[in-house]
This record gives sequence, structure tokens and C-alpha cells, in this order.
Amino acid sequence: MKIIKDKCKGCNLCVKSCPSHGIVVVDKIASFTDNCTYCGICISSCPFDAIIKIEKERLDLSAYKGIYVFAEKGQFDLQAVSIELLSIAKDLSKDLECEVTSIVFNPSENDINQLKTYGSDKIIAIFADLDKDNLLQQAIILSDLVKNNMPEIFLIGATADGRSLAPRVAAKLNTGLTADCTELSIFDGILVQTRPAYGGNLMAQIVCPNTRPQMATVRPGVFRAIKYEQPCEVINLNYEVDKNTGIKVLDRSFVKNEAELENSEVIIGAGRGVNSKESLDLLFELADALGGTVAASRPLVDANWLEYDRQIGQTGKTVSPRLYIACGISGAIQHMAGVGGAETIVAINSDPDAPIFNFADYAIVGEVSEILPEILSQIKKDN
Amino acid sequence: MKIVVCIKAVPASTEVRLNPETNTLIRSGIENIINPFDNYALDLALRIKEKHGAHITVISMGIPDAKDIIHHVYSLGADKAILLTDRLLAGADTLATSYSLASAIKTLEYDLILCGKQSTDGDTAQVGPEMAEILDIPHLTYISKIKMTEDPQYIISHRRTTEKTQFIYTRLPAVLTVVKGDTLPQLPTLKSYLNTLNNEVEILTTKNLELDDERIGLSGSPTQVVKVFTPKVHKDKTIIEGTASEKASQLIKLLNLGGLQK
Repeated sequence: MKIIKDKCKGCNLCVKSCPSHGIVVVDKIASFTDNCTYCGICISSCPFDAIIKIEKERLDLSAYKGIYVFAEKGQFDLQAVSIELLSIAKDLSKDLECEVTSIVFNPSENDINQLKTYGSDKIIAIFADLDKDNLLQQAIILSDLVKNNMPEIFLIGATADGRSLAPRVAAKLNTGLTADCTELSIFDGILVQTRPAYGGNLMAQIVCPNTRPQMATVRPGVFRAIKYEQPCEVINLNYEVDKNTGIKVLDRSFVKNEAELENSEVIIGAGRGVNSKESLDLLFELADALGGTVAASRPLVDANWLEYDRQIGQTGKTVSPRLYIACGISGAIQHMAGVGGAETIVAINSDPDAPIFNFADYAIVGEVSEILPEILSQIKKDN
Repeated sequence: MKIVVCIKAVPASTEVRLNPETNTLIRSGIENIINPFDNYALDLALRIKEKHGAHITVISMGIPDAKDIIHHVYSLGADKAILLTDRLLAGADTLATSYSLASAIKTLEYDLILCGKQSTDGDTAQVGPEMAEILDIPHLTYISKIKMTEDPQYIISHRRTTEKTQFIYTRLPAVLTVVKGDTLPQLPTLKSYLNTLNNEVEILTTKNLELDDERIGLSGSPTQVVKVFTPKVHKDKTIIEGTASEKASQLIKLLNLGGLQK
């Protein structure tokens, strides 16, 4: 980064914008300090365009073609996010005029059919004697495949396993990886990756201009799966497995996922303001009446009022329901990071200054224990 | 056992917001803290030390200002604290950071490398796995506790994600990224704070390490941030007023909740 001294007026706006004390104004001219992390925030803060980023020359990367999508197996079927990825990959492929290829390990017939239905132009089915849940073995095979086939983009679902696998593959390929993207688009032939940072307080757009593939993990629930009718070629490949990765899963159990938050259209969120078990029961009653389910912010899970699989937020699940009714939730950013995808947010809170009201479409100031019984009795009366 | 814990100084995250009109960061009260998830990693190391004995080295890559925050780990029981800081490392993305940290860790002795699950500013969760690949050792993510085995070369790691729990036989050395365990991290005592006041944070720069210039700092980073902006916030919220009964009936009408009923 560079400061163009003729343009700098010493206005101090850049100094104010900097999160890390990385720029100072001395004698009415800005200059960088050792604390600068090149984050670039100051560039957009300067009204005089006096700060510029010196771009590297772009390499010719036209040998890389196509979009690869990793189809991760879940407990029973493929992960929902893997199917969602196909629809965004399909959109990107129109701009790039290229194919969308799904990669899947040891698929069932059902897996193949799903990948065909949701927009794969090609499916690479890898048959390999993988150990149970061994992500390191998968990373070796995936990076070999990508090295040989040279796709320009490689997308992986931001599941727990996806977020463990993707960086291992990226490091093997010595390429860039952007985590937890919520938006992807093509600009000038390059993948522009938008992702939340600072717990959802800021959004960042990130590119990977000079290495391939451009890798991203994508959050579940951000894109909708779409069916396509089109031809699809299936390629079967056999791979040797590295049996010396140093890890072996001895035992595995799936967390019982009664709440199924990821698939709920209506979620009733319980926060600290739900201060009695009776009030909590009201939430379940409302969820039941609306065909939804109950989720919680962290304090209620920490207090063992609700199970961990109902926790929403930075340390829990990310959801995107059509309707989120936040009951007694303060709206800490750590919690809101998990409900950013909600279409409509209703907030019920007795504190009129609660941050939740900044995120709400509909705001009700009041006690959960007073409002919910009214809603319940009125819906019941209507029917 | 020799344990290396990687920590990062992050802004106390909830304070970070952009002013939507001027697009500048609102930095009122931004102070840096140890990334909360890294506290879990350090706590796991401290518990291993307590139970089985261990030498704990804490390492951080960051700006010179991070020194004071890093120093705090002495009062918690760390044996050595290192800050890797150099102008040439600035602007590093996760891969360049992983390479730089891994290069520094290579100069240390280690059986176990612990990181927090992710940082609260970047939230990427990538540095742990990428470091492991560069060091050519196994990695596991979302580990809540570990158990020793009879073979000193192996531990059993307990992995806990939102989807599943696993017990994983793990060869050392390995990188584990750590989530909250059953206990909350301990706080320093006044005594330990006073006793460690004079401990020095060792400063490492690129001069102390063998580094490939093309893999460090901004120019060695494959990814680049092109734009930072504030996410859309709901501005046109509808405030529903009246008695509890009126509020309820308005909400039902506005959202057609009656129609949502099963």
C-alpha cells in the first residue's frame, strides 16, 4: 500500500478508520506504522483517494477450467449444503462458461441421483478404501485430483468437517481459501468471495487472483437447491488410500438432532429474558402451533435449560428460517451471527434498548411471559 | 510433554462496527484481548501440565502492540511466551500466517500444538489445519479434551461438533484446534500475576527464521481483501405498541401467523 503525498490533506479520517493504530498523520501527511496489517480499510476511508493498493501483475491462469464442488456425506444422505453449493456453482458457471463437477467419495446410487438432479454436468465418483471419518485421507486424494484436473474454482460446504478438510487441501495446493462465504460472484473472470468477519459485524470481499484453484467454503442455508434437467456424465475413479495419516477414529456417535434447526422454516429463539421454565414451555407451545422449533442463545444452553443442538450463534448453529421470533434475546452479535439468514425477525424483549431491536423487522417491548400467552390464545381463537 | 499453544490478539469483537455514513471503524473502547477460543486451548495445555507435567510455550504472530496481551499468559502458567512480529509479515492471510507460524514452531521442540477453534475477528478456523499440513503432521479440529494412552506417542482426542462426537486415536506430534471443554478457563491469581511480572516475552523476527520471502506477508498471501463493508441492518423496523393483547393481535395480523398454523 502506498500514500500519495500530493493528494493527502492530513485530515485524519484514515487514522480514525484504522482498527490497529497502523497509520498516523505527521506534519499533515499520513504514513504507515509498524502496526499496519494491510487490511485496506483506510483506502475506502480516504475522501481524496490518497491511499492506494499496489496490485500485483496478474498471471495467465487460463489453463485452469471448471468448477469443482465437494459433495460431503452426512449421517444418511449427502449434506444439504453440498446440494446448495451446486446451485451457486451453476450460476457462476454461466458467467465463466464452464462445467460444474461434483466430487463424491464412495457414493450410493441415491447420492449420484441427487447430484445429477441438482445441476452437476459431471460427477467424479471416487472409490477408495477410506477409514471411517478420516479427513486427512480425503484431503490427500482431493488435492491429488485437483492438481491433475486443474479446476479454477473448488467449493466445499462450511460444515464442521468441511472446515477441517478445506484448509488442509488448500495448504497442500498452496492456494488461497476463503472461509464461510455467504455470497459468491464473478468479476472480471475472478471469483469474488463475500464473507462475514468480526462475528458478523463486518463483511469482507476477498479474491484469490494469482493461485488456482480459488477455494471457498460456503455456509449452509445460504443458497437454495435448484433442480436442473440436463445431461450428466459420471466418471468412476479408484484411488489408493494413505493408511499412515496418524489418526484413527475409534468411536463415533451422531448428536441426536431432534431440533432440526437447519430445516425449520419457523424458529422461536429463547434468551435470558425467558426466565422461568413456564415461559420456556410457552415457547414450545408457540413453536408447536406454528410448525416450528425452539432454539436458544448460549446462556440458556450453558444453564442446561436446552440441549446444545438447539444453540444458535457463533458457537452453535447457523440458521436461515423464514421467520425468527427472538424471545428475551438481547441480540449479542455472537448470537446474531447465527441468524443472519433469517428472512423476518420478530423481537420480544422487555428492555427497549436491547440490541436485538436493531436487527428486528418487528419490535415488541414487553415481557415474554405476558406477550406469548396472548399470541397463543388469539391464534387458537382464530381457528 | 512439550506443548506449543498458538494465540492471537483480537479486538474485543463486539465493539467493532463501521460507521455506515463515513465507512470508518467506530473504535470507541476497542482494546485487544486474547482470542477467547485460544483461552480454551491454553486452558487445555495448563490442565495437561497440572496432571501430567508439561512445558508450555505460547506463540503469537502479530503487531508489536500485542506484547502486553501475550505477557498475560505467564500469569496463567505458561513457561515461555514468544511474539513473532515483523513488518515483513504484515498483511498475511491464513496461508502466509500458517507458513510463518509453522516456520517459527519448527525451531521449537513440540509434541502437541494447540490452537483455538477459530479467531473471533477473522473467524476462519484455517490456521491450525494449514500449519499442520506445512509441518506435515496430523491435525484435528473441534477437540474438547484429550486423554493420554500408555503409548507416549499417542493420545485419544475427543472431537465434538454440532453433528457428531468422535474419539480419535492421534499420533503425536499433532495440531489440535480446541473448543470449550467441560470447565471454564482459570483466571490468574494475584500471586501468579505478581510473580511473573518480570518475565520477558521473547521477540522473534524474520531475521531469526529461515523463511521463503515469497510465502510471507501481504505479497506472499494468495488471498486479498478488496473491500470491507457493514452488513445490511434492518432500518425499517415496525414497532408494535399497545397492551399485551393489542401487541399480540397486531403481530398475528402483520405476519399472518394464523395462516402459518399447522
